[in-house]
Amino acid sequence: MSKLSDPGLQGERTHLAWQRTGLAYATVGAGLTHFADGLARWPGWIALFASVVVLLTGAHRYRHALQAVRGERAAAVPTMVLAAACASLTVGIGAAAVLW
Amino acid sequence: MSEAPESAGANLPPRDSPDAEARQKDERQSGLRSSLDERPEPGSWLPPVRLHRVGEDPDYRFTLANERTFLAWIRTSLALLAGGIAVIKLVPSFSVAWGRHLLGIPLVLISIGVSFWAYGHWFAAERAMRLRQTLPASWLPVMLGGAVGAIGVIALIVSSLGNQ
Repeated sequence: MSKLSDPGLQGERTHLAWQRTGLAYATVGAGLTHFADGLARWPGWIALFASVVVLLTGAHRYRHALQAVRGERAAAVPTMVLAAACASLTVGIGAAAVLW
Repeated sequence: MSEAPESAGANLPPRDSPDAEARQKDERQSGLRSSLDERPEPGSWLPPVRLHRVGEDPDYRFTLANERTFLAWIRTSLALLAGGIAVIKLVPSFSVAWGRHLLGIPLVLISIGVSFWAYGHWFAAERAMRLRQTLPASWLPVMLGGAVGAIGVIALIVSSLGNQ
């Protein structure tokens, strides 16, 4: 074992970044479902759903990154990035609409 | 955009038409259509999928670093949103009646702006890396710092006036 399997732990850092983002979504989702009533909770449900999707994406990215280290393809995942941005945007607008 | 003088193009061998070469390069850089692309992907009308057709894959570490930066911006956006919700729903009302909304509404609006901007910035950076170009610069970090600082100053003033 002379070579490191993942120099700089790029894959692990990216995995942890996705996990932190998933936890941030969960926090906002918990807040929005707690401070709203009835159907006004929908931004909170979206945030909680996004939290699960982001955590799963993190696990997927970790496997992907380890493949990249082995010299296979290292492609970006624009769809997941777009989805994460859209989720954040929707939750933000939804929170603004529901809180006022 | 290639802006080689015309005299230089005239010296090239005739089989390598400089016009065709430049056009091909422009098509590659535009990212809309590439004559070199041999494997059309399903749903290629989506801007994200088109990204893979521009330039060539950068070092995987750059791609992952760009992704982490994007995620950090999304977390920033979510933190601003959480701050806005907390100010409006948790903080007891100030002696200034509209104090909580004065602090909370800008936080939520900035949160929306940051998450809107984050995807475009990620895309522009990824595209620049694929084309070996300079990374895009932005005023957003400066403006965000200024805005959050201003909200902090307002919070100080409003809370120093006392609670209701």
